[in-house]
Amino acid sequence: MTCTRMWEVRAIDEGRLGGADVAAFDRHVRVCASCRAGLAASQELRELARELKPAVPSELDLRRLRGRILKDAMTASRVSWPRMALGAVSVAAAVALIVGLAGRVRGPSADAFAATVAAVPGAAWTQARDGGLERVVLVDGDLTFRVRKQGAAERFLVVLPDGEIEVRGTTFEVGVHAGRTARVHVDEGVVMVRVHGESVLTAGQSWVAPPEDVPPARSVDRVPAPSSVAPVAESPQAPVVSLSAKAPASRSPAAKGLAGHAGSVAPTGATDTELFDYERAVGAYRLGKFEQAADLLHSFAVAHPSSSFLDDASFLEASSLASAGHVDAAGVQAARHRARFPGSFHGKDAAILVARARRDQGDCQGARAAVSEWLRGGQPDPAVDTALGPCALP
Amino acid sequence: MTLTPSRRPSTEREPATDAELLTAITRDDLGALGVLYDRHARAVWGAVHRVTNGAGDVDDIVHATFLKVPDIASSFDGRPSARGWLIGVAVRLALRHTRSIGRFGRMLGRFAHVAQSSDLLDPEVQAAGRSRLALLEKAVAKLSPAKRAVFVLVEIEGLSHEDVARDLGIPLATVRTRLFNAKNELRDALATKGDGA
Repeated sequence: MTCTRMWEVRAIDEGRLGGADVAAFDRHVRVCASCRAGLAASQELRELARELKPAVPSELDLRRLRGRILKDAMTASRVSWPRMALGAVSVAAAVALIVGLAGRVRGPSADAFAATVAAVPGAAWTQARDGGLERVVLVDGDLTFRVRKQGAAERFLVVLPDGEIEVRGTTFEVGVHAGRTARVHVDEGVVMVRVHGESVLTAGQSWVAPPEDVPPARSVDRVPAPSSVAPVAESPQAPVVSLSAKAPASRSPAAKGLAGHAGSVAPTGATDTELFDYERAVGAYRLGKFEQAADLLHSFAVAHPSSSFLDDASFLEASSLASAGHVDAAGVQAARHRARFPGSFHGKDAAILVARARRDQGDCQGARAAVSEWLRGGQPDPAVDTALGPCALP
Repeated sequence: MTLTPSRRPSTEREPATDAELLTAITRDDLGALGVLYDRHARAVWGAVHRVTNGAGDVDDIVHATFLKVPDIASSFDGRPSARGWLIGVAVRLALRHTRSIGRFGRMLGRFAHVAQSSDLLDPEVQAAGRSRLALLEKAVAKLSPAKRAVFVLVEIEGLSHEDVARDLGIPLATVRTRLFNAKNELRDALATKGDGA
């Protein structure tokens, strides 16, 4: 039977019952099983709700989203510019006419910068203009530039620790980490990058630093089938220029799956270089460049042996090798992953890669042993069954 | 030669309040928008993820929320933290998003998958024997978006009924009704599953 005072449970829940009323209801609850149950259910719900696991985005996704927001906000703040420009053009024409008539040609005002710069907090940089020459000196961090079209007597330079960038009017991003240029991405226009030689980038293209500080791929403890994996770049000094590398199909199913991988670790304390290297490797994976991804992930593991991304990187390396068709190499790498990260979130998937390799080698016993953990329950597991194939039955 | 100082945030200054940041944002200060993002993006992302059941557009909604801030910053009421205000903006966008061009239908279509995904029934929860928590996860995912939004904001994000009403732009009575109905559905779900277990 429902008590007529059940409404007071809701009122207490919403904090709408006063002190005396609460005390009176408290006395009532002692003798009313219905209200007591209602109150207990309400209390349990509140406590359980507090324990619900919060959804946590990965640091990498947050950083990427941050860059996207700031870039779009900077662009949006100039949406009204074309309308204003119409008025400005007529004024400028009048001024030019007067200046021309006076027989004098002047460069832009020293205070009027040609570039609008958006910096990620923590970036160290300065901007200076001297006559027609404007220089932004970037010591460290990430900047996004929007540079107006340069006049005939103007130059715009970004001075980097290991080179420089020159533009004639464009929108682009530059990242400098650990004293060297890490990446340049061009949204609009043309950019001349002078770092380790000279590259010309147009809209949509990126320049990524070659992995100079990483030991040559496969020099250490590498999985088999080395000849089957392409080198990262043609020469250690050659920068990697890739079309659309900036937009690694973040909406694709593969990208979504990877977001899960990246989110499964807490990258606390990750350095910028570490994050950048990991992002680059994962970017290759997302783009379906599995051989390059395997190589970059291996280099990442060598360069960042204590990284919190290591579990993910190790598994993704195996997964990349498998996706590139190197089943044996994937099996070896997956077995290493299992041995090194026995409690890994990717344990089952790694075991499946090992089983698949054993199966292809005709080692059915080894294949079953690899996934024995998931065979004991007697419950059919489609993923395990598929990996075992004809080896499923002893 | 003119030289501007580095815009690196000074560590010696007192950190700006959210209200100060929002005032700076109205003056096109992108740095202030970045700082506001750093402070609250995680909470906004988490709330949107919960309200939309992580249906795949969380990043887009968070992106739209912070891009909208420069336009609406002047309407901020000056409360000590902008967290609830931002979450309110994001949730409103999320609700509008779920209503538009059939996205809600597709989201519901993903329910069966989402409810059984490892995200909601992760081994950690199960291993700890907290099956009731897992049941609640599933039940929250099955609430209507409007009810789920109110439940998430009040019971998980800890906002007051008044703040939720103001941030979502709905009457206080509607907040209470939605919350009441949401809790009834959740209690029923817990009781039914609990009996059946």
